[in-house]
Amino acid sequence: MKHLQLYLPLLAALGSGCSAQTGDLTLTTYGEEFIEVGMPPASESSPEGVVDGWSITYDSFLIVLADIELADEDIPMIGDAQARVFDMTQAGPHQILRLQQVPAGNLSQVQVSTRPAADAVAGNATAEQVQRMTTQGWSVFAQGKAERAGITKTFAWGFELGTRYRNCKDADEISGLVVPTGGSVQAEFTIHGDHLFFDDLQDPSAVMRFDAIAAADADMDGEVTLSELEAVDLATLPSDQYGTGGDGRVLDLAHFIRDQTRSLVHFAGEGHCQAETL
Amino acid sequence: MRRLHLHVTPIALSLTLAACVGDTGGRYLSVPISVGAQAPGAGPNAKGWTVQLTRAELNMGPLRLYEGEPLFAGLAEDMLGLLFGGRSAFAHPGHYEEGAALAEWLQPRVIDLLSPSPVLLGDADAVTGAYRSAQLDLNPSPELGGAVLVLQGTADRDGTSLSFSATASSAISVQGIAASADVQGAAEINLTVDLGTWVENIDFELLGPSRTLVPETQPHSALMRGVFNTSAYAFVISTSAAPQD
Repeated sequence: MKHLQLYLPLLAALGSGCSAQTGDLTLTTYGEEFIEVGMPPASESSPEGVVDGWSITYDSFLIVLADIELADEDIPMIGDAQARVFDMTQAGPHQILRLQQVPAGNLSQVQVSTRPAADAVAGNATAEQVQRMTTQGWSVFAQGKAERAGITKTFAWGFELGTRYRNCKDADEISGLVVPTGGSVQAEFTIHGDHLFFDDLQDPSAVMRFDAIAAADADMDGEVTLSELEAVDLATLPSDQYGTGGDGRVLDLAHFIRDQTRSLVHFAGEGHCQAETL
Repeated sequence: MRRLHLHVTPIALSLTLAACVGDTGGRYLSVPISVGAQAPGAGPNAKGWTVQLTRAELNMGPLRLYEGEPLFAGLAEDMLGLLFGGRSAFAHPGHYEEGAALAEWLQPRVIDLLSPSPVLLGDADAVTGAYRSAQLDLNPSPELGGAVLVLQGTADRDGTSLSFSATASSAISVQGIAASADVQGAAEINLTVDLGTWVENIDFELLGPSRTLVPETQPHSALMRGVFNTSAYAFVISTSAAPQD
């Protein structure tokens, strides 16, 4: 709670002096149906589903959210550095943070990080889940299964990559949020769990697929591990799949999926942030 | 969206650029563009093959520069970072958005990438503004037998030397290339193609008896991934502080 403690006196001072110019702010996170329910095969009714017929569900989708900051040119930075672990498979939205009597006005600069954190606490995750993330040093952990025509493949992947998402905008390209005077505002960091199965790191027309991941199960034990994915040279896959844009360091499927963790956090549904690798 | 520009006519593109001038308030410029290449290094590629090229031609253009940030700064910026102390890893997750076009060069031209000095393509129509990314289109050319690019050379590993040839026949659009400069006056654009990146992950052991890179095999797929890799293209935009008349 380091940053929260630092900022509370500021907020109290601002609040006591000009209470009419403050409002309340709640930040939440939500995993959408793709994480909470699953990713169906693509069909006429689910055109955004998995294109090669697999049905994918998460049993656990843990993410560490930390370093929340909100600011504007005229408003000092407020926020909370505390890292929190959320299990996005639980029905959301989940409250991350509620701040009262923050300066009213436009907070155009909004940012959050996903990163490993040894001092992370529970957002909505269990103590066991928090311990798993802190001891393993993961920022994201995805566990689940994919099924097609009686075949089941399971996966349990932990990722250590840290990403700062800054300058968050909503789907209408409006930066940040507005705290109304005497009122309250709620804003959401939306987690796009379907991105782990996208087949391109850059192309906005990327689709979800699982065939190459399933085929990576070299020992045929039913579980696709990151080591097995690392053995898959992307150049052995069809040339129109798993494009890496400009990230020439991504040469195998494990690193491809790992790189997709840099695109998980969105703002207010389909809004975007700029992502920097930590 | 990514591929729309492949089918837009030059007239429409000029209108697009003209519109963006109105949007950005920028001033018109004429900006020379030159293209050079860096040959594969003397060391082996990621598969252990040392590659020497005897022919490297491609049909380059149209070429456009945009205000949108690239998704991956990648190797090109890393290379510049080594020189100028910058850093990479700026990203816009999952969705590159090019934004307004600030410069465009519309006349495709076959370029010999083994030319000893950079080739002057011509002058791009441009406007002042904050340049951040580029898009390079490569299209089939009769001069290259209907191919987009032609590569020939030798690959050596452990005493084995293989001659090879490769072509790409489908149109290619490389998008989201890092190209950063604040252009307020006279400027010059220099593009360097890193041919080493193109061949970095080709496993020449998997070549067939024809010694030609066959589509949907590892060698051809690795080449195409190299061509699509924005890290293979380094833009240096030299600017002048003085406004251009």
